[in-house]
Amino acid sequence: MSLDFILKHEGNNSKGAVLLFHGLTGSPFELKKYGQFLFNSGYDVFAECLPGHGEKFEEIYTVKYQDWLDFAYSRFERLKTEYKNVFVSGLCLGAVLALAVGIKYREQVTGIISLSTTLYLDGWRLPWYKCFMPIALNTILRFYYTYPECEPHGVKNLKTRNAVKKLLTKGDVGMNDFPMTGFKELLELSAYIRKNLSKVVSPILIIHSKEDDLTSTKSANAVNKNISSKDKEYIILYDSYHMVLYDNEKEFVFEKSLRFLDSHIKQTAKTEDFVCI
Amino acid sequence: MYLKLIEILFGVFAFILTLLMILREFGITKNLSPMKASDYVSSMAGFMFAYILFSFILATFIPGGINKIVLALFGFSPFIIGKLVTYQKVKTYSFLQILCVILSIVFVYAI
Repeated sequence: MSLDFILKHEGNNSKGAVLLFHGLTGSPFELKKYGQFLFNSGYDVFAECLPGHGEKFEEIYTVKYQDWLDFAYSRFERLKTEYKNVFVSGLCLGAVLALAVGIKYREQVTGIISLSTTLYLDGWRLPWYKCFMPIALNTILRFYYTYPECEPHGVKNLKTRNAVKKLLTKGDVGMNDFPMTGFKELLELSAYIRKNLSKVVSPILIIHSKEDDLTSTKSANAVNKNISSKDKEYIILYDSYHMVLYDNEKEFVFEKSLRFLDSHIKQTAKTEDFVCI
Repeated sequence: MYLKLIEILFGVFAFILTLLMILREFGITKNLSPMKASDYVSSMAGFMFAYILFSFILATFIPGGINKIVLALFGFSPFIIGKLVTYQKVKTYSFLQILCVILSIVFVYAI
């Protein structure tokens, strides 16, 4: 079952395009409400499954971070030919990919919304034996190890957490485990991004939870400190975990994102839009 | 005296690692809960770390140039295999890794 979604306004009535990327082992389902909100606010929204996150579980064992980059770049290029304003946003791995697009396309990106950016795996949920991670990542053990989705599922709100748990048990909205091969690719991608953060010049909104269970604020701090964007806003949430789009402060995140998008729409028309008299 | 102790520790860690890997190949983790299976593989990572560490310690203190090189190679073997392994060939490389660890035990106790 495909969980991709494209929400487009009829004609050319949108304010711009928002390209969304989901997180590691997630699916566009986790962006659905966010996407719907942005669509209702006048934006065309695009969210597709990342490579390795399709119907075959084993794909996550063979996917390379270059595949994710190629996917993100191609989707952005496609939208850029159609829209004056193209924003990129994502959660977790998706935020890292949004930054990758910002690094490659620089001024062409109208704006970036980076949610729970995962440049380091250092959240409080990770077990004490994470110190052995370098061994597991670089040996055959990475094909043996999967970290099971477990409490709190990145959600502080108990009601939502139980709903997420139920959905994950069904298994059709994302994976139940984090395979180590996926972690390896994410960390390699993160290393590449960390090295190139200074190339990000687009306006950016960074949102990260203080109590993020998967990645601490160290990641968001690194982004905030090292990017070259003059126009940047960094918000720390105090009542959410990793899944900021589903947690206690989701409305705040939605509103902040919308305000960011609305305030960064470029009003200048493309050259071909001018009519010669 | 110290060398003997290091050899014994190396043997113990290598033996446990081999055992854990063989049991996994026989599917022991399939009967465990996801969290327990995850802990099982994590303990393998711990023993692999100890195996690598003691391979290098032994390579430092053991007499003979060739012996040092061979032990260092055994120490590097998890990383070399880790570099070569693909999802399609996990079984083959698992077997190779187990063989490497067993050979290293034989090597250390034969010299």
